[in-house]
Amino acid sequence: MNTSQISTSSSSLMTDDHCRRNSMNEVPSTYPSKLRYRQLEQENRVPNVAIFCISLNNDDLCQTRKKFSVDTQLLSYSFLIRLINRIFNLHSNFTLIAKELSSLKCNFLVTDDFDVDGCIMNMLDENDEENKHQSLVEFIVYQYPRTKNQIQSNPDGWCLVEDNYTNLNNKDDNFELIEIQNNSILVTIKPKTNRQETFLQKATSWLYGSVHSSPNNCLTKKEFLQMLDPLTGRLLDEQAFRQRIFDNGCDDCIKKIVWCYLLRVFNESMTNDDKNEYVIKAKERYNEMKTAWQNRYKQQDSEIIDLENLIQKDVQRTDRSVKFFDDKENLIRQKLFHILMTYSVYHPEPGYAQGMNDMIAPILYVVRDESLAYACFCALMRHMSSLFHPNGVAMNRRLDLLRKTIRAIDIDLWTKIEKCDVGNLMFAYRWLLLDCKREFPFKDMFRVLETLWASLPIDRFESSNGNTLSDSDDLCPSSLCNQPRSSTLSSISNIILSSRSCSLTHEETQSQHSSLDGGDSGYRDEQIPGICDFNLRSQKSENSTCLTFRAHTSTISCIPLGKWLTHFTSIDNDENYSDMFTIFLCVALLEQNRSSIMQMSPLNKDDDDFIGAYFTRLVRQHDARHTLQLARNYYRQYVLFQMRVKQLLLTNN
Amino acid sequence: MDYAYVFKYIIIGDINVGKSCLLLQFTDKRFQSAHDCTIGVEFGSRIVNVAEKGVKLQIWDTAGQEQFRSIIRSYYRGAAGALLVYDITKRTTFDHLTMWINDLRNYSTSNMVIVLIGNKCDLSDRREVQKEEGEAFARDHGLIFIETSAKTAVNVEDAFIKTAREICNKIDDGVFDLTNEMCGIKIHHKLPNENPNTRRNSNPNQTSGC
Repeated sequence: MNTSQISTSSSSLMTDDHCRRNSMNEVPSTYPSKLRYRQLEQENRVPNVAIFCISLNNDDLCQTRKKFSVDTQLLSYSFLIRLINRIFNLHSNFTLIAKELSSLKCNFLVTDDFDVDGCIMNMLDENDEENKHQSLVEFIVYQYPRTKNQIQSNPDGWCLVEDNYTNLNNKDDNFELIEIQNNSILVTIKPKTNRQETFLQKATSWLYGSVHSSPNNCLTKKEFLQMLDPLTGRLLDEQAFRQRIFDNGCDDCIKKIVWCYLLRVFNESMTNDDKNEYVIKAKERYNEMKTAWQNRYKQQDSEIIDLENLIQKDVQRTDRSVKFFDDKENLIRQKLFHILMTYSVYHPEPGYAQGMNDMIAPILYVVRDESLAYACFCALMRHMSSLFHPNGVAMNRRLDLLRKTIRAIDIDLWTKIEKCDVGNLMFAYRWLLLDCKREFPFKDMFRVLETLWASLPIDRFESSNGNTLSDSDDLCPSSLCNQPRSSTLSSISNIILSSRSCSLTHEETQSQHSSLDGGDSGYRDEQIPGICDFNLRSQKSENSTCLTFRAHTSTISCIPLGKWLTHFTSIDNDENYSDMFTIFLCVALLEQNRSSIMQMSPLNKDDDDFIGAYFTRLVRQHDARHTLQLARNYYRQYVLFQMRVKQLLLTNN
Repeated sequence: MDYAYVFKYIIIGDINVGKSCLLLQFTDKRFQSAHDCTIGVEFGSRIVNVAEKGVKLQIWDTAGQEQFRSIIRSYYRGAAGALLVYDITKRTTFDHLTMWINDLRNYSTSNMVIVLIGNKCDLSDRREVQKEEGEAFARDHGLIFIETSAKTAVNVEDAFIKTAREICNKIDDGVFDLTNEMCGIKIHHKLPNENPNTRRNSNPNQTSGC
């Protein structure tokens, strides 16, 4: 019955929207090519960021030269002056000259926003248009006012910097400096901290909060249908799709197909026919495998019987509070059991490990169809199985990463944790192994998992060994349906970059705005032309529905980067930070309980001085919405930081 | 209740012998026939009265499956007491005891007090391991032995308290170096007007631990 279910749903996905989209006459004839992802990766540029140099000259000798990566929202004349004051510890007793690298080869004096725009925006514009030669704007600071004739290009002469910029101290600055290395500095919008929330802000964020808690924001069926090619049923833009799920998740009625896409059981090259064919073939192949071990069971194969005992015991106690799993005929638990048995028999390495039962339960709940759930589970295990390995290498790596991250984000909390003798973080073992699956109520955990999966590079779910035999055991579409092996390595950063300018949640939008609300903060609110988003650029020729859905939020751009990021000075490559969302989820869980942890003291007469016992009691009780929001926030900052550092260090002087 | 010491315990043993049920019975006085399988470590704590002293037990209930062992056993060292559990209705869990003992010897402090627990003694009709076998094994390896039932609560309290009493005795005999953080024992810092540790014990190690 379930096979038919998926096939009808995907064909209805096609027909529903057919007419409307056809009328637009803008349907691209091919699905997005793999080429695009590669291009994006090569470019390695962060939008809405300007890079330039500032040199301090004394007696015409260059003393120091620093390279900056600045949020374009910050760029203004007054910002430049305050930045220079702060960096070189000056008191506005200087003149500022821009070194023109273009054909004109002349320097000109910078005296207002217009000049700043002139040099930086033009440079950005040029570079944006596939101009691979990225020239770097250089500002030169002369510490004393210079005489007229020294500045040839400007007959009006130098002008003293007005005094009203001098009495600003660092606290009033609307920017934050993050020093990297080699005189390279990231300049970012100051995060909203220590600022009293007004009643109005509190009220509006409450309002937004309540809006957000309704499922209105999530990817709806209608919207999802627009993401599929009306003729073929192919997913048009995998990036946009993943980004949408990362930001807001999806509606329950499309969860099944969305999860198949997230876990790469369906991929962007598959048409509706392909998907239907795949579902049928997957069922056949799965039943073959199931029958094979069931025959061994009938022949009293001791290996199979031991495995049966082990798995049956765990299956019986998996998510037992959820009604779905407690049907009268025990059919659902039988399905769980069959999937886990088949997986373990066909994957002796790692075989069955406790915790796998936790991961299959939500998949079966969403997917319902046994063979398809098995395929999803295999895909998930390609990403997770190393964590279950008895040598503990992958788990230890995650534990180390979590230690490092807590220390970076919240040193006081870390000190407290160490004081409580749980610096080994054993209480977080379950969080890290199961991607926090057991920490949230069952109904909320779907959102957590899909956000996490959407954050991962898609190759994490694809088989790496190219072994067709094991691929077919895993029900990989490439091996069952002669699909081309999909190898579009989507870099995770692309997702985050697009999401930051696309669809922040209301609350996040709110917090962005409040950080920009600082009265005379001088942020540029208008969208700066020429600096467009990756997606906007790459999608110019594509359908307009996506564009409109993006356009209305495109003015939100900058994510303030926190100082904590400086503790991650080494540049991660994609391979390494693909675990980071899980890590940030764990930090978010800790932060949610921060005040309780900080209050724990052996002087308390009650039992609560033991962090481990505290979290053991809180199993399945954490607030998914707030935790996710915090984790996403950390994650965006982290990825953006990594990208900006990379870009800054790679830019030639 | 006030307490003088904090003892760290670990509960170890094969999969499905009832480790988590023992802990639940001890901390919450209830039995749950089906509960989540333990991933990594779960924790419980309770204050008990031993030899006129309050002792707080911090209990690490470890997962039985082998995949977790490589990481968890590196934390055996910080424990003062170990509850090694087998299932009297399942011979293999008894057969694996030697492996567990070796693990403990390799990864824990030498003074650790170990109690061998034959669990599920309410299921005597399905018994596969005789009580005498358990006693003999405990004697050979210098362990305390007790048969329990996490379901009916028989001897559960005893198992934890006997261990604590033995640790207290060892403290009084000066066996433990309490200045060593790895011994699994912490002296509870009290409010200044009472200081029973220095009063009761002449062991210099203890006062220096304060």
